[in-house]
Amino acid sequence: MRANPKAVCVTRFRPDCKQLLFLYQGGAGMFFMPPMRFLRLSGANKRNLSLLRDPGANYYHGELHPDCPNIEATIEQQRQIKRQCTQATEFYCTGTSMGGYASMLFGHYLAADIVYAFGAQSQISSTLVDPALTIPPEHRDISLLLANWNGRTRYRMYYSEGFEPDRSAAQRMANCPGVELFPVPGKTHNVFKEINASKLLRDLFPPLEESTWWSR
Amino acid sequence: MESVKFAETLIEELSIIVDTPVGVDTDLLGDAGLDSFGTMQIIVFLEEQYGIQVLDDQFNINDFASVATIARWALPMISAIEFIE
Repeated sequence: MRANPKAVCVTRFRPDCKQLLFLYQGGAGMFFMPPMRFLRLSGANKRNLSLLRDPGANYYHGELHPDCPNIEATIEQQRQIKRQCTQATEFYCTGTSMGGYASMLFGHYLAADIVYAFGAQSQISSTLVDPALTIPPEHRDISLLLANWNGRTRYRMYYSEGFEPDRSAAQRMANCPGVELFPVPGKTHNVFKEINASKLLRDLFPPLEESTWWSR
Repeated sequence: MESVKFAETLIEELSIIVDTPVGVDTDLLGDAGLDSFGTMQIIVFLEEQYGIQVLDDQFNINDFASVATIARWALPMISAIEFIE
């Protein structure tokens, strides 16, 4: 699959890789760092990946692209990518801030194996999005969505323990099935600011199987 | 791979990605506003169009500074593929 003109989604498939990563950009189009840096540090660039962004910063609920006019169509577009990546048997979602929210939302619908949400919001207030948008209650409050667990997805929420908005957003999710909280040292929204981001991200995703062509 | 043809194809694709006219020496990262997302689009385009594999951890953002810069590393890779095939 190739990138679409003026795309909001770019996919890159690796024929021999069984992992598919869905990555969701934050409101500033970042992952608390430039996307390419995040891809490199996490090793995402060595796996099948789908990178989605929301230029309108409406928590992925507005029109992202003519092919994704609303959240239902965007969910279906993400499912389509999952179906197209036939070599993948493991599915992961990740993102930061608004993208962290999106990773939980789409992770639920995609029945991902693990969601890695960094500094994620767990509620959308009307001030954060276009007020004209109709957003279902279970999307406005992601704890309502995750209360109806899909039976598969594990949600790992990383947040700066000294940053109250993110701590509150994570702690209110603590009793949702499948959710684990990972407080990290820091006082800002940027989870990676006061920790060794390279070390955390390097070991984030399960290791790829060793390439064995030389040892057969 | 003929360099002129490669440049024309890349310019056409880049003009769509950054939504602005692009020339061989256009400052993609500055004037044209090519961001990380667009860089990933370019990598996917090159891989799917020419069958090369871009090991992007070996590159830095300045390798995507202009069409000429991209051609400098991409054309040898494409030529190597064509030689093998």
